[in-house]
Amino acid sequence: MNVTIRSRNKKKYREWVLWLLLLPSLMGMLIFYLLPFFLSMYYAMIDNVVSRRFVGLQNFIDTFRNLSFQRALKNTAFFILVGVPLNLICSFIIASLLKKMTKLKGFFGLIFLIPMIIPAGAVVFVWKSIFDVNGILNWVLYSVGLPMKNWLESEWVLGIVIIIFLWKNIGIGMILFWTGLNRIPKTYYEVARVEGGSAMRQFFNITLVYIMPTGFVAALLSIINSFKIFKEVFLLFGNYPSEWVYLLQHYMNNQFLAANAQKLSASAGIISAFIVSVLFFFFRSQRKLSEHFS
Amino acid sequence: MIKRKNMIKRKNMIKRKTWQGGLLYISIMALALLTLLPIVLLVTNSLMSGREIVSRYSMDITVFNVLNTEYIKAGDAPFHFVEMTFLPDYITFYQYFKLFFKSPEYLRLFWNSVILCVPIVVGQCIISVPAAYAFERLQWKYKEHLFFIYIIVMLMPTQVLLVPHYLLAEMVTLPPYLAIILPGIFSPLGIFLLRQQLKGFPHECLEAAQVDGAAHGNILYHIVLPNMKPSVAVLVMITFADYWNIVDQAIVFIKNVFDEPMSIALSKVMQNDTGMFFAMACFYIVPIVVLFMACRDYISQELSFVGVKN
Amino acid sequence: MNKFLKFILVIIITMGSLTGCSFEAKNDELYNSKLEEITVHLNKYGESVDELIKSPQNGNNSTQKELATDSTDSGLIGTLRISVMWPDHETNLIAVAAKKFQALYPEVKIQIQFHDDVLKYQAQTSVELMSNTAADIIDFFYIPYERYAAAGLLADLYPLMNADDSFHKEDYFVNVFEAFEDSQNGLFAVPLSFIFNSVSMRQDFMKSFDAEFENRGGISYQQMLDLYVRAQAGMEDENLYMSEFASATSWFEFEWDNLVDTRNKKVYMNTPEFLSNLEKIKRIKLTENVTQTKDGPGVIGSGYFIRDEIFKRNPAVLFVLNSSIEENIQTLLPFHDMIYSKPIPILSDGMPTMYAPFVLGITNTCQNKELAWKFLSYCMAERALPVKEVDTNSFLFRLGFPINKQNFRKLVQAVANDTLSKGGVAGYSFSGNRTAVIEESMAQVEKWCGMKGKVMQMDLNLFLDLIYPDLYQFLIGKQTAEQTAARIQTKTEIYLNE
Repeated sequence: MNVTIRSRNKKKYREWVLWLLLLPSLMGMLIFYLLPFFLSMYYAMIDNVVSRRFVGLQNFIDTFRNLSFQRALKNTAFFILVGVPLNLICSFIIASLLKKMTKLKGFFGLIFLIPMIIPAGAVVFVWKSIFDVNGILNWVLYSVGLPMKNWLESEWVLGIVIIIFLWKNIGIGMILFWTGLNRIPKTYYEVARVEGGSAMRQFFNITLVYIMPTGFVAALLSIINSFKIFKEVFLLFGNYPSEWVYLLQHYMNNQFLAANAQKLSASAGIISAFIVSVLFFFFRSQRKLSEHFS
Repeated sequence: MIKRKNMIKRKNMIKRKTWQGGLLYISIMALALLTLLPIVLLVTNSLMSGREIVSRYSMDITVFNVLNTEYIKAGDAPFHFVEMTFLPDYITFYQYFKLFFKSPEYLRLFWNSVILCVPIVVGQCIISVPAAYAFERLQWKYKEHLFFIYIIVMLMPTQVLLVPHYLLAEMVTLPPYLAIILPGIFSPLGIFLLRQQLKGFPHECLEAAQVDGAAHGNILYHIVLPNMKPSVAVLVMITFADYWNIVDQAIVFIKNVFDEPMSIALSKVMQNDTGMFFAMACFYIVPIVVLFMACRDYISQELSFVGVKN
Repeated sequence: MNKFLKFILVIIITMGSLTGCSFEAKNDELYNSKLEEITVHLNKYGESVDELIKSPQNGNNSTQKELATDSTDSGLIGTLRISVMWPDHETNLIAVAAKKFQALYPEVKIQIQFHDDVLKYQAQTSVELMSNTAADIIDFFYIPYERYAAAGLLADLYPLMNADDSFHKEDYFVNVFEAFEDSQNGLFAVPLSFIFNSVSMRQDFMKSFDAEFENRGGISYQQMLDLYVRAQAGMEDENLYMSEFASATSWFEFEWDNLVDTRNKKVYMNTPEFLSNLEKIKRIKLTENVTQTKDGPGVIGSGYFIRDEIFKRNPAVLFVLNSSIEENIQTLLPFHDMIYSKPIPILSDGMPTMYAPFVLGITNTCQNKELAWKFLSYCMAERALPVKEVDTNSFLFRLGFPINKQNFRKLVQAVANDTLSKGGVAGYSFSGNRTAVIEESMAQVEKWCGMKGKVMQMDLNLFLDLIYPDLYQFLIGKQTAEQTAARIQTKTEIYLNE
């Protein structure tokens, strides 16, 4: 009898300790992230900072109808839908290539990580020199005889931004996929080979399945970093770039400079709603897939 | 007969393998060079004199680059292409001299960057490691929902939270550095990364230790931490790179131009004095590369990591 | 290897910190030298500096929200916070006026925050306005006050003006106030000084091209452009120039009203007329002083009588902008044998255009708007200007005409005296009684400045930043006019729709 009570107390004590370890982070999150988020939602529901009249969802509707916002949404969606999968695929390919190498793996792996740590402001000049009107790309085209173009102001500018994004973020995806690939026990591959499966089937049935959790983490990190590409774009183009690279963050930044807290918070709210729904779908599908395959 | 066929097959396979292997090496090396290209250019350009930089990169035609202009079509303005090179015409350390000895205010900005980043990184580690462990071991109905909220907050862009942070800072009269450091310490990125690492951790080890009578703190320190080192290294790198680059919050919170971190000054100097910009950029990259080298061991541990250390 | 790297890191951080710490002293030095500049110039007025002027670093981290109680009969009580962009020159009208105001009303405390970085100023003003911690009076240099007014963050000044009995409107240029009204006739920003945009043309050209614009009340930029193209075609070697102001962006600066409709959020930049105008702009030749660079038109050197040099050196310069008050007054004085005409106002949609370099406003979060208005009207009021230096006077008003008529007369008199005495040196002569000439000129200038003018209702710098990259590509021939027009159209639409 005494033993059970003591062990139950010990269990409760253990739970307590765990909660205590979690507490600082929870408090910090609450004060510095959740509270400000709700405050900005409150800003989104009033009409004016001075005369705080409650208008409900009017700001959100106005933002949705806003032509500039729609344009920004289209551009950002295109960028994320093309850039993130491309990033994942490229880093996966490089990780699997690296796995096949026998020596100098670590060295090459680390080289790909270096672009991630270089500050944006430092490399923007180099990008400008390459893609500008009198830049290297145009010089190459001119030497070969092809027509030149102002790449930074043409409709290809999102492609340039995707190249910059890939350059910066292949490293971290590669590291994650590398660890993931190494975690798959070699025995599975042996079994598949013995059973006579082709390389394709091996890939689809084993690699893809077991890389899923790592892929999920890499995808999330990619999405976070795709929001951060705004810094490079801002340094390259300023507050009002050409209409093909006008992103959501440009819209929000300009509203910020125009001291319009309502539109800023309303657009932030809409973005959050989008992210929540996408993540929900992500989690659901991940759970379903892992149930299906295990 | 069959043995011979097998031997030929194996020989062919080995040949193909070596040929494939060579191709592999070449392609990887090409990619690596391409990745490093901007950085190498940065370093070599920092050794150029100001005049050379202007003559190489500007669209205007000066005395020094008039021989390299192209006349595209009759009637159009003559055009000067950017001449990027790996070897400057005249190698000079003048830009570094100018940076260190003639403009000491940039060194002050560098120090500002350091005292902004280091507390954030240290704080992140201190807070995230126990929290990730607690997340993993906790048995609570709504644990995953809480984690979901963490992920959503992590994906927020900075402008959203800027005004409320400012309000908070004003209400509590926080000094400007703390107003940037505190939200950075509690950022959910750390918990997310570390928890993913812990997910692959077999629970049996931990429970065995628990049955043996170890408290959570001991488990954390002796068993979990050594295995989490690679993840912590990655987290340190990512957080440091993020805040070494900070621009938005610094402009708004820091009132005095001399208290700003150096990342803001980089873009201003790029327009005013391009020569010193390269030297400043190289100088700015050095600490983070040094940190990277220091964490390299842990990260390459991760790269060759196969099993769990007991 | 690891230890070595850690050692390097430690060395770098130590070096950075040591040199950084020693910079603490240099920081103080810089701050003290700025303080010295203010002292030197305030001493001209017989003032001395005290705790009035706070620098951003040790100043207003603590927002003082002491409530102000004003009582109009026994003197004013309260606290004011003013946010000012540091001027290019040493004198600052706000600092001078604040000192005197506090001496007049001892119960009032004024704190001034100086900024010298435009980007920072914009970002911080935005954040402060959004979080209700803004200063009471803001200097709108480089700030889009039209957007703030539309968002309801600024206070309407007409009610305050009308409620104040000691403010007599007839002492001021009311036409300038009217130019700054918004679409609902509310005044959200009050200018402390103003300038009318005007050009001068060579007398012989005027006669040969039958361009007697002086008597027609003004010339629009479109007309200038057409005249230029016509003259260029008529001349044999096509070496006709426009002077420094006529870079391609001037078109947008003066004709924005026909191109952009801010109220209905429409942009009219894809019409055939606009395309033909773009082609005409491309044909403009600028004088040697100007280069068309990637970041905008750059002017090398400007000065008091450089326009004469421009007119004389390049034998065919069509228009020269009168950009300062000195130039405006100079061209209105009756010198003999002047080669250029009287100032011709640049019209937009039939009305003369003007701009104000020194605009202030009161935020809606101000607790004591009457006190703030009292201070603003004190800044505008008549004051003693130092008689010795003309330069100090004009920089006091940020190189514009003061809005108070008495200040205006004093300044014009000083400038006219100065010009007349220098005119002899530059080769111009005048005859007659100096005082009478000055009186007549002053009357003429005052009449001229009493025109009903028009102010650009959009942030000019922002607008030019928007269009200039594409415009530059067009000017150097890398883009066709259609492409440029389409791109500028889309960008402006995005800006308007935000």
